[in-house]
Amino acid sequence: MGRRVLEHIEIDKDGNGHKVYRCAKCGTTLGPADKGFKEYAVVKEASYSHYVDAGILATRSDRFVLREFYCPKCAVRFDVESVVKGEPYLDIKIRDD
Amino acid sequence: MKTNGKGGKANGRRAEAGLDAIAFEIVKNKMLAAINEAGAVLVRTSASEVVVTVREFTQSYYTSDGHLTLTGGGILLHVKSIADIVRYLIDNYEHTIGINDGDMFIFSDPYLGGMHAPDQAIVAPIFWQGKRVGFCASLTHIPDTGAIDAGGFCPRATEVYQEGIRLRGLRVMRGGVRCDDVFNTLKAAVRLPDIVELDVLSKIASNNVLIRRAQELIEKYGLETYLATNRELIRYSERLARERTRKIADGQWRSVTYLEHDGQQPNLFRIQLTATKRGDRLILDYTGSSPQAATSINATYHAAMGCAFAILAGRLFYDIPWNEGILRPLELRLPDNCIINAQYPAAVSQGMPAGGGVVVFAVQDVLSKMLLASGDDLRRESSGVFGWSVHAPVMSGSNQYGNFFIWPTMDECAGGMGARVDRDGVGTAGTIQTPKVRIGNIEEYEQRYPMLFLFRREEQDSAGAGKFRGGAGGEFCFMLHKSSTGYIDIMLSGAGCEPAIALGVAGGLPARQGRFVKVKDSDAAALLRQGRIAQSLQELTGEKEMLPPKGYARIENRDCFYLAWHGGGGFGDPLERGPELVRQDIIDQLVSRRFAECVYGVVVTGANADIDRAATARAREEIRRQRLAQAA
Amino acid sequence: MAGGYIIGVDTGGTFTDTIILNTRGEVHIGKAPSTPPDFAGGVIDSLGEAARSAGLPLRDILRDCLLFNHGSTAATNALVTWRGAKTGLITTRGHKDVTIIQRAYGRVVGLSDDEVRHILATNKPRPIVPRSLIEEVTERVDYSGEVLVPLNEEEVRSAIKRYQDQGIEAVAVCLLWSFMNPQHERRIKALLHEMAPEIRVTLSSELVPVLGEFERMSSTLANAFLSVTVDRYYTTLARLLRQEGLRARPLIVQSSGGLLPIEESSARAIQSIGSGPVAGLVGAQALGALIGFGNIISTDVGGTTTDVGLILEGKPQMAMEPSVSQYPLAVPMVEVTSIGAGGGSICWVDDHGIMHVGPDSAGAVPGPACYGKGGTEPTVTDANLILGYLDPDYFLGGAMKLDREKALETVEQKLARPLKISPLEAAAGAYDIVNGNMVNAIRILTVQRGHDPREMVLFAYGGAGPIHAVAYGVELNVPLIAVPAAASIFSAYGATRMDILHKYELSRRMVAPFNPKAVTEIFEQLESQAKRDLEKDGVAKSAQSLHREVDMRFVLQVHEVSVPIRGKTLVAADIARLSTQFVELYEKMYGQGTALPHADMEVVRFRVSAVGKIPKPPVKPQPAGRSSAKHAIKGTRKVYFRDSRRNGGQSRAIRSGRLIATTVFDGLSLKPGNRMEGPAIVEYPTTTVVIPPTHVAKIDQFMNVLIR
Repeated sequence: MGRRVLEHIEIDKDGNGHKVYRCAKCGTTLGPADKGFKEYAVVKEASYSHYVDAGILATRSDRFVLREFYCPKCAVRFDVESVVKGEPYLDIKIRDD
Repeated sequence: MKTNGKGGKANGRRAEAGLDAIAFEIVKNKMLAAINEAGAVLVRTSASEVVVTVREFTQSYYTSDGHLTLTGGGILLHVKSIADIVRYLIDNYEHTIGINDGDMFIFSDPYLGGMHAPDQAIVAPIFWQGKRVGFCASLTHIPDTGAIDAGGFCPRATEVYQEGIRLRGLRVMRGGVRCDDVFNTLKAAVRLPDIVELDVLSKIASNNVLIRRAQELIEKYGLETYLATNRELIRYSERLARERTRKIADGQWRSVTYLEHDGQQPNLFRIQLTATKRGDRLILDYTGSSPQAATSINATYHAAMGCAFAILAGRLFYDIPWNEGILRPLELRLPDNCIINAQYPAAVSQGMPAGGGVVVFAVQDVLSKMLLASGDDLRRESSGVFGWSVHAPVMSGSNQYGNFFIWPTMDECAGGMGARVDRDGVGTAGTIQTPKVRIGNIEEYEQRYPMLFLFRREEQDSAGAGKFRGGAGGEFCFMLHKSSTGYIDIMLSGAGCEPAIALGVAGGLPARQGRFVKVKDSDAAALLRQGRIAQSLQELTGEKEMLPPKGYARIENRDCFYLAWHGGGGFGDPLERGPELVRQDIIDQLVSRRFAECVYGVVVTGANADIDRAATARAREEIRRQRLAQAA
Repeated sequence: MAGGYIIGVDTGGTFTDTIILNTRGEVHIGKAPSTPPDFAGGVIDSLGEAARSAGLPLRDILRDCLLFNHGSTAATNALVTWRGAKTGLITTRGHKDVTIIQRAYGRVVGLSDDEVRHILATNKPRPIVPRSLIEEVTERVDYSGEVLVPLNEEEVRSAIKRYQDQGIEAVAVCLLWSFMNPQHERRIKALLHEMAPEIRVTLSSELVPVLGEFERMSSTLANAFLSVTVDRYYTTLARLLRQEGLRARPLIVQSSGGLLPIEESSARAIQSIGSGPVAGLVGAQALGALIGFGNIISTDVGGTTTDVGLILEGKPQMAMEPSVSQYPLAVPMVEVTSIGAGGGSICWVDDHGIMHVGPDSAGAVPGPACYGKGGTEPTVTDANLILGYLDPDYFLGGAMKLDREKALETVEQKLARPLKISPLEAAAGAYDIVNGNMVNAIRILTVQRGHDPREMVLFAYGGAGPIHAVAYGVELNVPLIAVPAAASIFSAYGATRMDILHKYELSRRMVAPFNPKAVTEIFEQLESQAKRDLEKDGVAKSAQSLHREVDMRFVLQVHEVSVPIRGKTLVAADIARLSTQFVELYEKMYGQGTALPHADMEVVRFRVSAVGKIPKPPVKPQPAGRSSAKHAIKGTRKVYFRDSRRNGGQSRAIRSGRLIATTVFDGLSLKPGNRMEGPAIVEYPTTTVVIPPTHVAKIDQFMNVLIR
């Protein structure tokens, strides 16, 4: 068991003792933990307006986006950001020593 | 039931010599009982809806040199800043006009404490045998300040001078006798003199309770025990708060929250929060946030601090006595001239709900993520962000009896609870900052104001989706009824109408935005005459105008006003939600079938909403496929 | 009062208790297992036991019974076990979410401060009617009572049809502004009676005609939910009692602290909530007055629950905002807190190896393992038997044999083995845990509200109370623990100390200067109803008293101050006095200078309380005699006690304990003035008093056991 970062993201050691991110749902290794986990996720970004049709959001806006981060293997959603277009990823750094 | 004592006992907490455990416990609980009793007195004597129903009031005890030793009940946003007021009082008046037994001092300057001019505090010294042994204070949100706009939220203000009378410690009681000069001055400055006077009197009554109970405690347990308990309370809370903080994962989290519209223009403001947790310290750093605005949406330092206190108290330190000890692990870094640390004389009347309100969301957002990365007992305290639309439309005008009224509508305080890690959030649940918040009965509204409510209900699909969903938000719509002038005015003061602010956590979706809609020249009244009550905006004819989050609107005889407020954010991936739970939400009318299909990938059929297992499996597979496909 | 009997019966979750008093002050008691969910059988059994002890046929006693006062758990039990009717709710279009939204505060109703603060752990109560079963009908009345939209009867009819299809048994009707204009609610009731006479109806305008749709609807809904169950119970009980020869009309203990006739109680089911515990608290009040205590913590430990209440300055505390299970109820209620801890509470070990007691109970059937009626879970009673507190051959005076072997076996199997300790230690642990639960409940009512238990006396009653009282009393540091002579049937006793009490309210807004004639008219209207009802109850004119009250406030305030009004036909001077009186009362409550004498005042509610005094049996003190209690010694047995600790120490660590040879006294042989040093056990047929080595007990002149 690795160190939980978010519900489905954990930091663990790979076979060589290097710290890596893993998907806690399917166990897939995402990549070295020296960067943010979001760098390894499948990212889907769409303006708010896109979410109004399904009823998720109520008001259209083209300057705001929802940014979704998925496991490239099992497609579980790690995180959702609600930001203005162009905002850098909101990182999490866990000290695990 | 958790007892506050356990953690401390293990640590040999009795730092104060001669303070026995039982006396500490009894004195502490009696002080808390007095705070609750004083709150009940405020509720029973005030004439303000915001106090009586929405519970925007605070009572607290302070040491003789102005340190907060205990608070509870009401609203948590202001308690920290009142300590600053008490210290101002000591520093400026102790050796000048004097602070004597039976005196009470009135304050309402957002640059000294409180959030904005409507936050009015009355501070009273507690004396015992001729010696000052502490302070107590009561604060309420008063319904008018004599500002440029009725109600004291002023979208058009650009300087604090336009936002109403600011009081800096006028002596409202002298030696137990009311000072009519102060009352008369204050009453002449505001639009609702009688109500404001009652609200001042109710705080005096509340302080009377706090003083009397403190003196009874001293009489019974001795002055030394009383003073030692007060001192020990702060240390005790600090110790427990540091212990709790230490249990949180070390690391750094970043959150960005937005505030749209400055009251005049649809400008966008950004509040960046970087939270760093190291050992028993927590740093909340707002560097990178927008500079202060030219209008009144700015928050003062006190508002930013108060909002952080409220969230930490309610979500992390809920079982530790609430006083300034719980803030000792915290370091707040606020850049100068920032939207949440505005410099005098910037206008700040909308700093709460606007600027400060956004802090409430930002702190929840980072805290929930921090807790998720921590041990299992803290992980359980993580959740989606609570819905709270921070938009209180302030209505004013002439009521059905021909009297002037001001009504800060606060139904949005019934926001949805954020989803929990193992359960859905509670619908229309209330807020963190005011644990016992209430909204009014429709009958109370209709008795006081010239309105007829066509509906008030939880809004379908309003909650953030997730493995566990947030609690639902709500919506209402009223038409004018028996108005003596044919119109009322509404001052809008909202946030979260464009950016989604009740965010989800760990893959959960945010809740919908809140909305203000005016229906111009509607047929609501005509429908009533035909025996029909319109139940949605779609059923009404008339031009539907989406109002800006801040600004002004006038509702006339044939118009309707619609308000939707936020549900809570979701927790986890909606595809992990059990189809049975989704079906139950459909039966309970919380989730529409379309939403269920699009977001949860759950397909139901027929009047009983039976789950179509095969179609559900297909829908979920298709959603997964799209998630990965779109990126390619 | 001429010859005849006064009977009090209290139905608890586990036992049904009876007290029969006659005019000579003689007392007979009876106890029988309760018979849930239909409690009536247990009442008859219990009466039979009491009659047997009196040596008279039950029929004769019932025939000569003047007053039959009954406290019953039927309503509480139906709510807690969710055995109410399948209920529907009809309300105004656009407002079906009133009981879902719950004004947002349903989440915290009735919670302690500590619970409120842990926001994320709070929940709203389960809705009595889910959204899918709430029916909105088109109709609208405004704040003045004016009909804006007439009732759409077609919609009502189709709603009723749907309810019939769904098997709805009870319907609550609560429309906006119905207390100003009840015509639509009444019409819906008529339609329900016409189309579905089998459905029981509660109208908000009849039950609680007060402003505020949430609290009104919540009360109406709870009433509808309970109506079928409670009515069935009262109807069955009345019939059985008549068959057994009762001529008097049974009176039922109400949550208000008064009595109402059984028929009226049927229609107002929510007022029977907490009926039994309230009777106990009134008993404690009466006994406290008799022996000179005004500040009392009263604890009633039954088989399933422990009920805790407070008497302060001689008065039972009324709940500020009455509620039950987080449902607000807009009716006056004496405050009693219940926790799931009693003799039948099941002891269990969780996955982490921690022992818990309750809240599940083995009830009377199958009951504790030692009852030998098929109970397989260890209970508090089993622990008490193992610890030597109970005598297996003298339970219920020997009427029921307890099986110590069975108790040992289950405690060994379910507790001792998983915990790797001896059965004796496991039993002692269970005893400590259940006492700790009681201490917590009492602390919430006392310490947490700033009432110092060190200044109060603890009354311990209920069958199991006196076994535990000293143990939890020590934790609370109370200076005195009193076990009433009638401890095991104390709520039944309390029921005989009450009066009939009706309350009539009308919400009407009047702004000063008040018109004396209009005020008088409203009171006369309420009072004519009151007099009719008291007459119907058979209360003699001389025993009737009416009390007028108005709720007043400054215009625009939300809360009111109740101001009593004296005098019958009011004149201008009375009315002027009303305003002065209001200001005086206001300043008394909130401090000098807090009133606004020049501001407008208004009356918002008129209230008449109608009291029908009913005769109470006399209580005579007996002269105190010698202190020696030697004559009452039955023998000795080994009883487990923790090592000495008098001052409620703070350590939670388990202290050692041991079996000590303990004198056992026969409670019925004790005389006033007798003194017993701990360790001692005093056995009565229906209860056992445990006196640890640290304490001394004395019998007072009313035969109460006072322990210091």
